[in-house]
Amino acid sequence: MSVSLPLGTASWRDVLRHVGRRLATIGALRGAALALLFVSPWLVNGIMMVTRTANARSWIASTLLGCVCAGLGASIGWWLACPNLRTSAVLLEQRVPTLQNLLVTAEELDRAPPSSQAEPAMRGLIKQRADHHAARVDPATVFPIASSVRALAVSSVVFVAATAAAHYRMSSAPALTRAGSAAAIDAAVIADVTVQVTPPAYTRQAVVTQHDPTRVEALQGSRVRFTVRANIDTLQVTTRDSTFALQPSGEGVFVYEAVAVADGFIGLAPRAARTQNGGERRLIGLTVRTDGAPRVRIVAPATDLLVPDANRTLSVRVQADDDLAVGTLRVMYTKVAGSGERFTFSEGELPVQIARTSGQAWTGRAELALAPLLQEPGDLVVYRAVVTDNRPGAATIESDALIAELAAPGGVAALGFALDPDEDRYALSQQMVIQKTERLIAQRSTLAPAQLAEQAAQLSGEQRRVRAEFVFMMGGEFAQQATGEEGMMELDETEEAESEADLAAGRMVNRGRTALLAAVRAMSRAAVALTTADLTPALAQERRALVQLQEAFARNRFLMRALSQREQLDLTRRLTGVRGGVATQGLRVPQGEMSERQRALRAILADLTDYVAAHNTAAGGTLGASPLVDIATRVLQVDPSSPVAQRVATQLTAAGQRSPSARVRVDLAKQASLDSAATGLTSMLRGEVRPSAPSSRSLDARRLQSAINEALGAGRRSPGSRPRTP
Amino acid sequence: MVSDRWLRVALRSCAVLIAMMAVIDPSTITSRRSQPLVSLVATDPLRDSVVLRQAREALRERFTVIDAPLSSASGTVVVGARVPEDAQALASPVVVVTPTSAATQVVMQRIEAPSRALLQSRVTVQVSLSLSGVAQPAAARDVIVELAQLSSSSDALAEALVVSRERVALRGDAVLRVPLTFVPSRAQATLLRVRATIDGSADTVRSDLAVDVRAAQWSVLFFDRRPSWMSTFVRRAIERDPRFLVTSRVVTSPNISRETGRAPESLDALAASSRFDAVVIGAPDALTTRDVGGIDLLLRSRGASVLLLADNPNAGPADRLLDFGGWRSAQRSVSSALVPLTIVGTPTAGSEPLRLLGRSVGVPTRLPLNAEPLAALARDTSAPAHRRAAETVIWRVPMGVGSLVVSGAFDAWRYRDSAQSTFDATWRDLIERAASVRPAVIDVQLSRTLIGPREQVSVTIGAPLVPTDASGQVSLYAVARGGGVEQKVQEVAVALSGMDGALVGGFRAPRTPGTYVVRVVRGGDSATAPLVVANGVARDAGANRDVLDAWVQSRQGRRVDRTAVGTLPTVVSALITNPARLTTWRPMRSAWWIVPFALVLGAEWWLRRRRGDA
Repeated sequence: MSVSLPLGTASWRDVLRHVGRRLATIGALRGAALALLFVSPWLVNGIMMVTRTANARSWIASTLLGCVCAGLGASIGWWLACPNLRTSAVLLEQRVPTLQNLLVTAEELDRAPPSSQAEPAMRGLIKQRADHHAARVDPATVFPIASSVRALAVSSVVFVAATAAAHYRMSSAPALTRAGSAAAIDAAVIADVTVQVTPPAYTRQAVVTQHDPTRVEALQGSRVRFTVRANIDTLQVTTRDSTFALQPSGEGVFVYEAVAVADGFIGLAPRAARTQNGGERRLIGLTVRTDGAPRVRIVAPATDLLVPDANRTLSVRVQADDDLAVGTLRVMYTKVAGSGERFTFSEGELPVQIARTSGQAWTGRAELALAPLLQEPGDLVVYRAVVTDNRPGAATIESDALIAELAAPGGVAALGFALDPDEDRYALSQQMVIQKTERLIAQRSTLAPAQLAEQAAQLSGEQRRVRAEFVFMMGGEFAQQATGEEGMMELDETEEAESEADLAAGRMVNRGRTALLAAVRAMSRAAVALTTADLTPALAQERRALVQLQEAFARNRFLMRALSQREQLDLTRRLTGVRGGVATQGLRVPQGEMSERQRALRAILADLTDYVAAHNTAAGGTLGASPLVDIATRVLQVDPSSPVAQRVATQLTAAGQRSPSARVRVDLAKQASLDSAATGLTSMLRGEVRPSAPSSRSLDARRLQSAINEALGAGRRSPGSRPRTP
Repeated sequence: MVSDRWLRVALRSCAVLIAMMAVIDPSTITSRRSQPLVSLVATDPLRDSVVLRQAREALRERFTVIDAPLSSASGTVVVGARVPEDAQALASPVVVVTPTSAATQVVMQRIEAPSRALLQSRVTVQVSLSLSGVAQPAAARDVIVELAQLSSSSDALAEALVVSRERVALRGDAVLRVPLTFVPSRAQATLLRVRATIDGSADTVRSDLAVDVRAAQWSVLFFDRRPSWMSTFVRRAIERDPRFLVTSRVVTSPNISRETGRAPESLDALAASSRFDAVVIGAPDALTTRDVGGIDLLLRSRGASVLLLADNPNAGPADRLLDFGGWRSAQRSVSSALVPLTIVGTPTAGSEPLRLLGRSVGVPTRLPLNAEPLAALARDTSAPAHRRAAETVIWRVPMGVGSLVVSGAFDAWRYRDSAQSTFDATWRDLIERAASVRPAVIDVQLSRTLIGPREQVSVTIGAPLVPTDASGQVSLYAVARGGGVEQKVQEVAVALSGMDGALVGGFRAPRTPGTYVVRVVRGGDSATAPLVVANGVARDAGANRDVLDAWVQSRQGRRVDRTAVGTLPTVVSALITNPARLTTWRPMRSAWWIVPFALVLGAEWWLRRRRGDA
């Protein structure tokens, strides 16, 4: 700012200008120091009380504010201290008495007009002497600047210290400083809420921490830990099922931990002994996600196979995925061997080559060699993929089961042999087999022999399936080997005695069992005939089987279970009685079924309307925001799983927290939140109440309509007759 | 000197002359043209305040502007887009300044809402919207329609909460009906405001309405002369609905019946004192002749709503009431053995369509004249009207002041599976509709239930079921907030109109905003209707340019746009006549005669003093 002039060369005017600039600089430094010392700390504190934040941004803002204040102070100091030449001369003469008033005189003569009374010679002499003396003055020595610089440095340090203290107070004791007013110091205030969600160990997911959330999402089984800092004595915690008081675990710190089981909420209400009223409440919604079951499917070969020989290997490709992670992937098979009603089953597992696309999606490949599994025509192997996720105790998920069958002469793949029910199984009936056989006979002349044989083979398979249904329906195999018609009509008493339990159940009553056995035998013969494309005998056997089935399931085969002992009938339970004892029965007028959910939602909507109406009309809007959090809690109590209810609760909570001082009139953003919440509540109610009936027509309109009707009706019935008046 | 003397004499004479004139008080007749009076009114002063101020400034130089309706004015200038409420009090000619601009605006053509609703129901407000000032009619604009609940605890209405909001695409060449839903939460007169705004525009049209929400129940009687499954299942559906209070009697065998509540013994006894909103009769083929006579009396004298639920096509004595020629079976389609029925005109905007199923369905051989179909065979909804009438299964016929609903869905009760049929909802709606059309014993209807202070209200009292005098009075009570005692505000005189049994009257709304009740007492019966007086009631709906033009034309006036406000003095001058008026002038009744009197006396005194006289 100040530039030193070389001694002995400057005129008295240059020296005075130099002095003026130096004095102005000193004034600016002192102004900045004063501003930093007295003005900035107050402003910084005030702004922090309003914004209620203490972070990096507030530091930057505080620094900028200090700079602005210092700049303003410097400008004011410069403006106040900047002297003119006369003032500079006077100040310099005061500091340097040896100048003997020369500079003041020179400055006055310099300002005086040339026609003044002073002699030019005198003017010149004074000027010369003033220059001579002024050249010996060093303004830097006369007006030292170092003290002002030190003052500014000290002020800056004080400012930084004050700002740091304010930030420290705000961050360390937010409950006190955030309230913003003396009255709020006594209020119970929740400073912040930290929610830590620890997913179940098997998920291997990271712990998620949220600060002051309005909604927490957690996987089922997660541990949710709420850490609340507040200047209160007790924290009242409200959950979906209970309300309890929580004591502090440390100074001003409350910890509540729970396992996420179902959708719900956590309401936090501060309670302090020093104040009658509770402070601002918090409501945190809890959305619980369930761990979905994994999915698996066989992508190749994606169909059942009927192989002509077993000298091949099937390459089975499997895809599996899970919402979190796939745990295991296996390919299982079941070997089915045998014929007739004698099958043997053996289980096995194939080695699987797994490729992990990601933790959630796996693909697998297994080689299924058929040679050791399919040894006889008609043998088959059923294979399926089995997958699990990492959830403990989770059930295994199986893919659709596919089969590979070694073709028998004329055989078809046993569709639906697997455990899952096949619709065709129920669609097929003996009557259908008969109809198909009749159609094939009708088409026999137009079909090529090979084609005819193929279709006959398919029919043979269907006949076997129908037969198998009856075999299985009756409880398995018929052990008695009956051959020929005679054998079927003559039952072995030993076998019958062993089947006494079935007889008691009515499933093997003699005639029915005989007929069913005959039907099964006829079906077997029909299947054999169809295998050789011998259609006419096959049709005869099919019809015979149908007749036997009708005999087996005739109405007289139904058994009525008789009472095993004499029992007294309870006549009061029978709609009988003596007519004379009957009288007119008077009952109470039934009350309608009022839905509790509907009643609760109506009450919530009414309270919300009342709150907003009171807020709009109260002087200055002095109502607190806590009722909105209460209302939000009630919404979640009605239906915590409903997305609409969750949205409404979030909006109400946000609206309640939008004016924490509870002295602010409803602003536009808050009103928008409340409007949206009210619309959501209405939509929740809309589906539960019927629409109101439309307004009735006016009395005159009804009378007129009736008169017209009757006039027209009378005219139609008997022309000439007068209409009847009501 | 001589002239000075004569001057003093002249001055003294003038003074005496003035004094004599003051005593005599002479008068004269003059012809004058004064500045004409123009009455300036606005239909919505708050919203059109700018145009109102511009019109006032333009008129002030050439007219004396009165900011109020004035029947003795030379003319009236109306600022607004609709006919003012007090149009009869305005002086002709009328010049209307429409505040609409050339920009596209949404027009609220009509608002349909029930004037009364039950607390247990939801209210659907249908808003008909169109656009004006559209350059490209085919282009659609996004319009936000909102239904807000108002609070009237202060003098002016204030919007409390938006309870329903819809965003619709509105074309310039179409009228769109937008349903808005309001679920009442308290039994009181509820104030609602409909707002419509083109998305991105600041202009909003608003209209306020009041719905009288009552915590009442529909009183329904079920009467079965023999047990009927159809009636039983309908009754069970109604009993579960809290909107209904069900009384029933099922005659199970001679002299033995099952009764809930105080159900009447027979239908002929019912007609004398029935207060049921609806009477549902099962198994109508089992009715006796006396029962049918009772129903006839019930319909014509008590204005009842009667529903006949037939469960077979057998003829009976009730057929003479129906006048339909007997039942015939509905044709079933080949593909389905069940006959679906759709409910016609179901007031369930925004909800699922109502549907019944039946295997045995009867249709009338001859649909009664002016029968209103309520349900028809579903396959026949697109058929021509004459064919559709033949396939009507449920219909309603007005009889006297009552109405009779007849159902031919004989076995719809068998197919109540909620996945296929809306059996319960259908019968609840049909019975509520029937109950709601039953005329009240005393029906009080106000021309408006939400009005501004001192606005004109007309009241119509229909009392078809009680004898009425040729004149009478109704009372207007102020309703105290918080359940206090009502205070009578005024009596309103009503007189018999030309209509049978109807009393009409009119009154001005109280000056003080608040909630009032119009109460009518006739004998032992009474009826009430709410009246809400508030400042700032919005009425943008129903602004019809054609009606406005017709009204202006009938008042020998003109309509000008807001952009032509500057030409208003010229337009008004051309329309009104300002003839010269002969007026009587009495100069000495003006106090100004003192001034010349004092001047001449003073001058005469000064002259005397100058000469040295006393």
